Amino acid sequence: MTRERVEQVVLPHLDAAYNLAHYLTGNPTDAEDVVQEACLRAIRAFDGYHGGMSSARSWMLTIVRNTTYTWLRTNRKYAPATGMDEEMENVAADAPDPEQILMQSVDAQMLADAVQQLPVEYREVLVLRELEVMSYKEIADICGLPLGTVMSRLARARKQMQQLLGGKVRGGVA
Amino acid sequence: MNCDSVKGLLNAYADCELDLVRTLEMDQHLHECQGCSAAVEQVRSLSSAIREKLPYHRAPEGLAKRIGRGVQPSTEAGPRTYRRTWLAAAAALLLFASIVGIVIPALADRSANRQLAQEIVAGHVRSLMAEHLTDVPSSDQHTVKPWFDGRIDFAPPVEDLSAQGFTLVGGRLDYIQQHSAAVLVYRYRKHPINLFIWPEDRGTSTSAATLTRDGYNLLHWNDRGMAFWAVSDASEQTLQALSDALQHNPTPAPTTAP
Repeated sequence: MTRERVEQVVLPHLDAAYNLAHYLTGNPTDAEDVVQEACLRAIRAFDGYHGGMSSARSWMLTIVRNTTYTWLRTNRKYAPATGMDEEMENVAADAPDPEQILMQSVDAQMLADAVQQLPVEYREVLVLRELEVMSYKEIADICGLPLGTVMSRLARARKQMQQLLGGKVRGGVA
Repeated sequence: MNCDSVKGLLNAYADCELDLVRTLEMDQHLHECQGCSAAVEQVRSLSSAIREKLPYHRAPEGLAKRIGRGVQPSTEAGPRTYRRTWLAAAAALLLFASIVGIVIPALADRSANRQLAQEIVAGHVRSLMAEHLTDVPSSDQHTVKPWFDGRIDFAPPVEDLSAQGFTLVGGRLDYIQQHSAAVLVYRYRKHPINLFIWPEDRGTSTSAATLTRDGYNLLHWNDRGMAFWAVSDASEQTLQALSDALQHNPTPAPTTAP
């Protein structure tokens, strides 16, 4: 593969790659290591890329995600969240709590802390949805999940965010 | 639909991911049920709080270079060497592009457009790579517009589109198909958009046409004697919105300097 192609396909998505790796690993140093490794993988695998996924960004993020999981497992920082298997059963339970949180009182730090407390499987769908503004289909492709699972994980991620933020807002006021 | 069946779809509804039939059913239920519509509002306000406030971690400076070095099986890799090889590669690419331009004259508008699209994408990517998005970084149209005076022989329309969600980041000069182009850089959410503009009189305005290259979306149209090419990793609809905003919000016709 040529250098120009790397520049056109891999590097433009470096911010997205780094952002995802940062949220999944939880710190900047590990994120850099993961992204560097992912880019090398992408470059080696490049001949296998024919624009098959909806975009180069999705392709790149798939590699970043897989590299991160390998990294998390190697470094024993990965424990699958409990209850993942039953997630298809009762999506209705994932509806938000009736309690209202005043979002104006939530700041960036509170959000970042709450996101970091989510299981990594929830964190990834939330980051892809809200920060990369991706469709459920794109997220499903990247994470290798059925659409329904993306939907329920996102619902759970948001519900947990609401609970975490609710606790913080109340804690801050008290 | 009852509340139980609605609850499982609240998030997908708030994300506009439901099919038309279910969306209409949801609309109807939400119209009648205060509890469920409050729940949708909650999802939406959380979602927009995250989009607005949760930090987006941009890749640190130097990471692109380290990765670039990994690609080039080069000997030494000091920053200067890197820059020189990069320049050489760019020059080779330009030479190649111009040979292609001479040897294979564009047979049809469409194939010419395809080639143009490739150049536009390359320009967009170069600007992101070299962290050279703008020559004149400013969100003020009255700073950006005069900056182009004296640098090019036409006056690109520079509009403030912040009301439509497009933040002006600045302007830049680029070179497309042997002529200078003004580039306006807008940002939509996290996505930089490069808008290339140069004079090209087609007589009448043409409606927008879309293309995709290497995962980038492009939209081009002609208006008021100028060719417009917008490129971004943002969605086609976003570019269409930019195009609409520009054409519904016209400034006085741009003047061509003598």
